[in-house]
Amino acid sequence: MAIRNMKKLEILIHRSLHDETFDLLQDMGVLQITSRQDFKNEDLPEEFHSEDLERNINEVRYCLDFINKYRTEKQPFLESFFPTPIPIKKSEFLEKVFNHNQIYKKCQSIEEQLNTIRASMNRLNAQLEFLNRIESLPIALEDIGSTRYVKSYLLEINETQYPLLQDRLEKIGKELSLQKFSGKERKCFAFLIIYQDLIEPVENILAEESISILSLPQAFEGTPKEAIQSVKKKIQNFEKQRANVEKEAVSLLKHESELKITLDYYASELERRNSEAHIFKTHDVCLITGWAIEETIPAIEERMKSIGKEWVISQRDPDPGEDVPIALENGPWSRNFDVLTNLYGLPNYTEIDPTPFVAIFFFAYFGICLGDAVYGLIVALIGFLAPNFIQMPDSSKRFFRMLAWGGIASMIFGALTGSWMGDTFDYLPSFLGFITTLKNKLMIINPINNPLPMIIVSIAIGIIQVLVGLLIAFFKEWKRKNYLDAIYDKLSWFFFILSIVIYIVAMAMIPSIKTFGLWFVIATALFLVGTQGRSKKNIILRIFSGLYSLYGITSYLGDVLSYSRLFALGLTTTIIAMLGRTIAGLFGSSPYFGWIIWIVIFVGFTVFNILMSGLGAFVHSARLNYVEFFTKFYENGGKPFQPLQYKTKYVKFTEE
Amino acid sequence: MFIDGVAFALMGSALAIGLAGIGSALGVGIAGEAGAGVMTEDPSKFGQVLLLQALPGTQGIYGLLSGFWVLLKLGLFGGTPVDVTTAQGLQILFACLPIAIVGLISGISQGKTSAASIGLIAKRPEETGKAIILPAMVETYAVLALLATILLLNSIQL
Repeated sequence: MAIRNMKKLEILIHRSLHDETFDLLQDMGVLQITSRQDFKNEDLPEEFHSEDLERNINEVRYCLDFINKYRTEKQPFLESFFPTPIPIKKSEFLEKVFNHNQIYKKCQSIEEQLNTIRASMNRLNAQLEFLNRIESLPIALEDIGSTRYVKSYLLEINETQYPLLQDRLEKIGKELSLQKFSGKERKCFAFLIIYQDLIEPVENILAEESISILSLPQAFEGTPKEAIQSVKKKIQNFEKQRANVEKEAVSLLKHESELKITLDYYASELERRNSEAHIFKTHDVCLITGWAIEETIPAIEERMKSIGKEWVISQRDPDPGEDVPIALENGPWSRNFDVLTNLYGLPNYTEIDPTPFVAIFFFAYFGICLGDAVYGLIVALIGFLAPNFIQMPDSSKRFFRMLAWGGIASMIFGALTGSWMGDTFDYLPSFLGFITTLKNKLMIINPINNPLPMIIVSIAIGIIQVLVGLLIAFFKEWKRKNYLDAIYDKLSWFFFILSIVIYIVAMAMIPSIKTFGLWFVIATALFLVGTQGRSKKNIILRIFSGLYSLYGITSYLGDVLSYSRLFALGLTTTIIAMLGRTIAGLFGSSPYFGWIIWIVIFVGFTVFNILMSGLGAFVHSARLNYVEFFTKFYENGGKPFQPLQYKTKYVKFTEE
Repeated sequence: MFIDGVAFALMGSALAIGLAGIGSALGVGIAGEAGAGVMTEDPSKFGQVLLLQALPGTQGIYGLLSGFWVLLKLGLFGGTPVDVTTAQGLQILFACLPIAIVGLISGISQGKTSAASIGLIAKRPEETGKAIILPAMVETYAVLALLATILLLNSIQL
């Protein structure tokens, strides 16, 4: 129900106990080690360099990424969200010596080979593209180029341009040969052979007519068709080579779990080394300072006894203004909702833990927003069962349980508003009629025929949460001994809003207390006018700013009206379910296979509705708590408590 | 007169479904483009990206719901068609306008916010929770418009 009490621990040990102490602390995972700024190490012996460890970590990560890239068998869908942990005994883990170097080198060499192959294949494909362009030419490609006396060109020109070119070339002289070959898309090829003497005038003409000379990307042998064959063969060879290399990459998969364990080992080692760098050392003693949860301190002392006698532990309360890490402690039920507090940001050490309040309100909001008895049952079953069948971290387990409890709330509110997969239960076969009767008996509000009561309920819940928020703010200020602020700014608003609510209720239902309600409103309003301007010296200004402060009621009005979404979202679920039922009924009435179509459409709509309404219910329930409730009192900004422990991402310790 | 009234009412239904649907389509599209960009770098973010992309999709659902409500009210969906005067038809048309207009515009805005939130989780995946709340702030107004449409429709006596 609260933020756990933290103590600052100072553990003074003889230098000889250094390693054993850190073994013990990391094993227990109870101390967040901090550095003491006011001490300077008198000798700076083995300064720790984290580069080696970090390099190892990066290399192992690279190997894992590499292996993952060439994984052939598909991983199950759930595996990507909740990877199955690798079970290992703690003692085995700590003695882990696995040389990843060989695998790392192998990965690198495979990647290099693949890169070379890829580059060669790119080159060959470019050649192939070129050759395909001139595929129809019957000439041997090695003839293109220059010899001692002649030079040959391969030209690509427009059909219409060819006669002109022929004309101009003939005028230069007889020592050339021009041959035309048909090409594609109104282009043709020309094979031109000239004596070396004519190079200059011929190339001038070609430039003037802007005719492109095709140059071969590489020396080829034979006609283009033959060249294509040989290039294709080369590509096939490379493909074969690539398949072999990739097979090698796939075979590395067997090292995956080894590598994962190694990565966890190095990460834990790095964590520990970094913590060790924080502590203060002299020639003979070490001083370890850090934060620990108060209740765990006796256990630390107990464990320390087992390693020797040369140590002293002292503890003190945190100083005001000190940056104390935050650990939350909640009851078995409200603990499931602490993900909401974490999402918004942890409280300061002096703040109260809002989780129990958020738990109750979120439970109710999720229930109203999902608002369907059958859907609630489905969500509750998934939420309660999933953590038992899928291995996942504790925080995910709590998240699922939170949804499950939301599902239970949804069953309650769904029954009260008569939504059982929308109105599906009105169309049950006649022998199940008693269920329909039961459903109708449980229903106390029908938001479809008469939305007003449900809106009033939503807004009433909103008023309650806003009032609770103000009360918490009042107690917080009171505890900090800001008595005047507590009464003038928090309690006064609490009673002002309460009086307005009483007055409205009195007008609608209980006329006998109407006058009392009115005077209550006037009294609290006057109190606000009198106190809200208290910072102003001038009496007139004071009254005016007091009056102006009453305008603040609009922000409370906005907050309260915002809760009408509870009604709207609950109704959305019901109507979409009705829509699904109706459409399924329309198509389902077709002959013979109608029932199959009915099932497909109905199940599809149900799944879709649960997903979308569930998402909406979560998001909007969280929002109401964050925006309308937290703004009344809550200050976040706490940093989570991160004790020195084993940093394990992949492994899970089993019993020795 | 019978025909006119139903025609107006159907126009309301069509506008609610159509315009809100366009808003969601554009919004989901904007968010999807951003999401695809993020996933080229890190395909493992698919789950979170999909969640954020789905958020602007609700306007379309609200529109569909309002349009369906109109059809139910008219008795066109499994029931006996109700007589609707021109005035009643126009009332239904106007009642549909809040979700039609707000759905269209808030869908686009929410899509932009979602896209920005997808950018946020690309750099800081641990802040997915906060990234989801920001687009939900836009959705508030779509919910309010839906509320208005439902209340207005409910107040029309046929």
